[in-house]
Amino acid sequence: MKPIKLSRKRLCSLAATVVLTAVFVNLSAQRAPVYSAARSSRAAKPASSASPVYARDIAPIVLHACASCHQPGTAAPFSLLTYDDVKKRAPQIAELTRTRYMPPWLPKPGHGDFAGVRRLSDGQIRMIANWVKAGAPEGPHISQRTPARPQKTWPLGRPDLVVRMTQPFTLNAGDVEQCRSFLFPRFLIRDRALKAVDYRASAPGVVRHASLFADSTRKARLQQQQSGAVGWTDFPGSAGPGRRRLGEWAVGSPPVQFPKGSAMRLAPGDDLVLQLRFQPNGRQENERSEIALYFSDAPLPPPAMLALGNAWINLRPNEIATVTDAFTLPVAARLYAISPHAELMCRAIRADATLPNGAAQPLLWIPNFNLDWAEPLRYRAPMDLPAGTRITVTIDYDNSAHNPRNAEDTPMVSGAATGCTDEYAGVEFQITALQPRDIPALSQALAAKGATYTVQSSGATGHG
Amino acid sequence: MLNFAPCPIQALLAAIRNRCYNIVNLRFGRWYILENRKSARTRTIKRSAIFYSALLMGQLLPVFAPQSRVSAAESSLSKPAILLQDLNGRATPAFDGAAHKASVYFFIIHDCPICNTYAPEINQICQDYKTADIAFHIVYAENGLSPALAQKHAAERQFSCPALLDPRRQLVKFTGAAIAPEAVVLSPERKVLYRGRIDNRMLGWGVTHMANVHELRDALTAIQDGRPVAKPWKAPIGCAISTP
Repeated sequence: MKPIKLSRKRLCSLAATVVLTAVFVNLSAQRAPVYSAARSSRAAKPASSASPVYARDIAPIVLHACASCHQPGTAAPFSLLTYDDVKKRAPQIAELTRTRYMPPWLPKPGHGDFAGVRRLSDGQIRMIANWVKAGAPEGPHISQRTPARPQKTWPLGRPDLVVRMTQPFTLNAGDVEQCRSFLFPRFLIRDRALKAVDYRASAPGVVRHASLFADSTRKARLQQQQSGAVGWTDFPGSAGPGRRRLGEWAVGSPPVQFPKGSAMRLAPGDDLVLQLRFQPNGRQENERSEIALYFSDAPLPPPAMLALGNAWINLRPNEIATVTDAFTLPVAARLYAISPHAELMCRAIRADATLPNGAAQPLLWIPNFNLDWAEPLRYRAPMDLPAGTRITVTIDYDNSAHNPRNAEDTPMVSGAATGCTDEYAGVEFQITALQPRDIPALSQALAAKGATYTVQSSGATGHG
Repeated sequence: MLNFAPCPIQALLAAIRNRCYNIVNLRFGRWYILENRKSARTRTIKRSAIFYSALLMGQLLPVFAPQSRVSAAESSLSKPAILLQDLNGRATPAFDGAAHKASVYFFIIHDCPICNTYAPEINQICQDYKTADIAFHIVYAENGLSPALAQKHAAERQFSCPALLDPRRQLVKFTGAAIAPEAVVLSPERKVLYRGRIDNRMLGWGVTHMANVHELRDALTAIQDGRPVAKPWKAPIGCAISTP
């Protein structure tokens, strides 16, 4: 074979050609994946078993955990029933599930085993994040069970009595977020035993939270008279003598049912007071709420309600406060449900039981309280607690600039932001005596329990 | 004599084999090997140099270009014609020639709860700065929203300024808006004077309070008074504007 002769010029030309070719090929190779990734957001690339697709991996999560509220006719602002609905908001869904803002569920796992848990697992959240990162592919269609559509009928069946606001309340487009109470005066003509109660808003898009009270003090009537409008502000919603909390609903909350074998007694002179928290949606809305009442034919003993804390506190700017309270069960009792009550500046709520043998039983821990999603929490199975068990609650408030709910750099007097007056701190426990013979003893002990809470504060907290 | 090879390596080998090693050229996706004539060789070398230089520049420029998400409005002072839709579905220019001081665009999504919460404040701002040579527009930054539904939404919110639909996100891309509700203020030269949240009432999802920092109002007051708009701009909390 003849040796190839190369002149210097030819060699330089060849070398330049080779170098330039190599650079071109190299740069093209580096950029190619970026280009293809950007183009393949909804490309029909075959889904490997590792990359999540909507139909197989995401739809079961979204339809179970989100779409029961996010569908037409519910309080949630938009629907998440179809792939297009979900794809449109895919980055938002990934972000809100990552921060656990959605689906709303306040209790920390391991502190009470509750029914109706809406919390997503870490794996499910990771799956959603990976799906969004992969461009939210749809995948081959798989038939899915969609959640039940919202019905015009009541979930517990036909109520024995439905009371409705006599006049609608108009929330104007320019109104601010606010609390307002509405009176349903003397709604009964004879004594009744209330075993369940449900609530329905006519404008669910603006009602964020509802609490229902039975008031025998007549004070609510006076407040309504003085108001001269539909409803009034400033109803102290704490439970107490003459004022009992019947129910509480956040968006998506189920009906309230009292423990089997018990019912709340309602007298003919009692008034119902419905306290609503409104969040305007930029247009005028008329709200005319309905309350469905379910009565028991037989007279039943009332469920015992243990209210711990039950304190009104007025936080000054930069004030940090902790409300604690405790109660020792005089008899063996069965715990059915727990209702945390607090307002805007509450950071955390914790409830624990210390058994007579010293063992600790966590009942509830909400590390990041959010008033929007406060609701009664029913245990999956009632919890039996022996006599001598000490139940303690701790409620932390933070009105400093470190609380994200405070205005930037400017802590405000609590409550002023929403139109609801002061901050409230309380936890209610729905209990019954384990043995029927102990019912009077438990009732007496609860009635005799006065205000036993203590407030530790960094400032001059007012409370009452 | 003209020959070609399907890839550069084969072309190179063929060139060496045929002693045509200096006249390898790329045209129309093929690697051509030309005769070893001096004139052809010189011409081809020149062509190759020009071709590869252009190719190299094309490859290198994006690599060394800044990667920040600078909007077209910030990078260009030209006045591009962007046509959006009005609430009757008619093509409408995005920019208002009558705005002597600034044009304000409120990017919203009709079913975003945070956008809807802001509707009264948007109306109030339009009202308060009406006489300041500032034009206001609502921009629906979403696809699949019919003009009729947008019309209903705008009527319910009583928007006092004109509303536009941007289903192809043309104005979104031009201004760099990313989250609804986001306010963008453009100068008459289409330069971004302000882009960010309207005020600080939302500090996170579910974290609301009474606003006490009003960045958009501050920016508009500064523009009104002929002062520069204060920075940094804070991103809004709200619904992500998706790609079309």
